[in-house]
Amino acid sequence: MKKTVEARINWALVEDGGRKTILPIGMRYCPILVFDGEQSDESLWTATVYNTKIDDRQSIAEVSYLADDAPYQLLESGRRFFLYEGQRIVANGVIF
Amino acid sequence: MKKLIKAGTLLGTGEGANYVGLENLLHISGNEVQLFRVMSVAEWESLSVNGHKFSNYDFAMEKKWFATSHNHARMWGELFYPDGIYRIIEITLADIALDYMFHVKLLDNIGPAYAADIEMLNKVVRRLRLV
Repeated sequence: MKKTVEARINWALVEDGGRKTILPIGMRYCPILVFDGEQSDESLWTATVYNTKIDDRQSIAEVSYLADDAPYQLLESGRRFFLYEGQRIVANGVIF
Repeated sequence: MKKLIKAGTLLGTGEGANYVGLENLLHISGNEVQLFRVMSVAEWESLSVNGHKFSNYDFAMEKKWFATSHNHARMWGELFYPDGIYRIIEITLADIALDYMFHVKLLDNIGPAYAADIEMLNKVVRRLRLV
């Protein structure tokens, strides 16, 4: 069953490999989401991220997965995660 | 060679490497492979007006993802564009170019996927067509 959580996201600076542009409020963004400490060499999942508030390189966002059969049980309060484009970390975050 | 990411670390594919010299992959002999990308109509139109060259497009992903089959691309299309309005392109490149791309064995429980940045793609894509 699909589940959406709210998270605080810190976007990496461009010089640290971050995105050149921060997604505007309400625009869907679909990076790879990997939880802190997770070690998956086999299977990865695409997230959906909608910024709801933006303050410089930090935002509040609604976070979920793209696929219906993704591991929604992992979207738990307090869990820290990384967002990737390719193998580049573009942000880290924590679920409220 | 094509290890995947661990959280907080970047492990080794050639992705992100210095792309100087990749132009040679446009002409090197050997096997060719095809990859498939699902995209919005607007992204396809952007490709069309730019002579089939990838470009930064609005706030889209700065990396471009590709499936290894048309069927997988269609499955991602149904996830990304539930209204059914999308386009699928096929690119042809030397198989050795895959070593320079980021590779995921299984993405979204659909299939393998490759990602590359725009600069690299524009150096290694030999042919591109709508399928």
